[in-house]
Amino acid sequence: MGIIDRFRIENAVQTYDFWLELRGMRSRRRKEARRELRTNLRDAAADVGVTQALFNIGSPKELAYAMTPEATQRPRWSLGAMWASLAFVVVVFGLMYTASTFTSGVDASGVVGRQVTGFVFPWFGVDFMARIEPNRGGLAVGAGNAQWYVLGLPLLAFVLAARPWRAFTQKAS
Amino acid sequence: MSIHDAQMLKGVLALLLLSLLADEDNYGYGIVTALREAGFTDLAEGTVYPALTRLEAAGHLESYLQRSASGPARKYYRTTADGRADLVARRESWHDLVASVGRVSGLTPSVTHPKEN
Repeated sequence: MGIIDRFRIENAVQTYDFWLELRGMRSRRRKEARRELRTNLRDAAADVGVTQALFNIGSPKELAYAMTPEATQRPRWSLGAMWASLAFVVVVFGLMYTASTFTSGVDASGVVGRQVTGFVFPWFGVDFMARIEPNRGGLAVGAGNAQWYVLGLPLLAFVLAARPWRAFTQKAS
Repeated sequence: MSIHDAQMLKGVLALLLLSLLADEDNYGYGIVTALREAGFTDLAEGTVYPALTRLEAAGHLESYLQRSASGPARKYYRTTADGRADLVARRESWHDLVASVGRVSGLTPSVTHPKEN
């Protein structure tokens, strides 16, 4: 079996695992479920080919739902990590874009040779800094206190999506 | 290739799985293959695997890992005492259903009553 075929099978297995986790299946059982599906898919692929083997199991999401008729309320760590990563990318891109725009504004204003600091909506608490050297001698860009956004927003996204308090409420019940 | 009514097939899937596994331990894809060889060519893995999980959760099947010659260990299923009792009940239920349908529809049942034991 080639690398691409192995990747296609593993992709289906990991998608299946993702949905199993969302349905609240514990990690030990998910590990068993992953192993079983992987083995079955490889056997089927050897028999009828990878494409047909994947077609026959249908959607990994629907398979995961069929495997777990009753979802349990457990933390959804994978979903949390996914949203945290997305929030991180958005925040970093937003900060870089804003800093670039701020620097362009400073450059357009003709202020050279000294550091300019300012606030840009909606980045409350973040000090954007830009310094344009005379005669196009270079520039320096910065954003102070941005760590609250870079770390805080992804953490918030993680907590809201993963719902870690379910681990405690489940133990209490 | 035979095409079966999907809902009807789902109704008897547990009976088919328990019957197969009462004869011989088998693993997921092996069971699918056996069912296809028996004529259930339209039966997808996406239907069989959840049914196996449900039967295991209900205590009718138990599983164990066994290494295969071709690769990683396979999860084999076998019937439990509960599963064998359930199989007897399902076979009787199936026999009654076939007899009743036969009386109403005028069809002659072509199955024989399972051995009681």
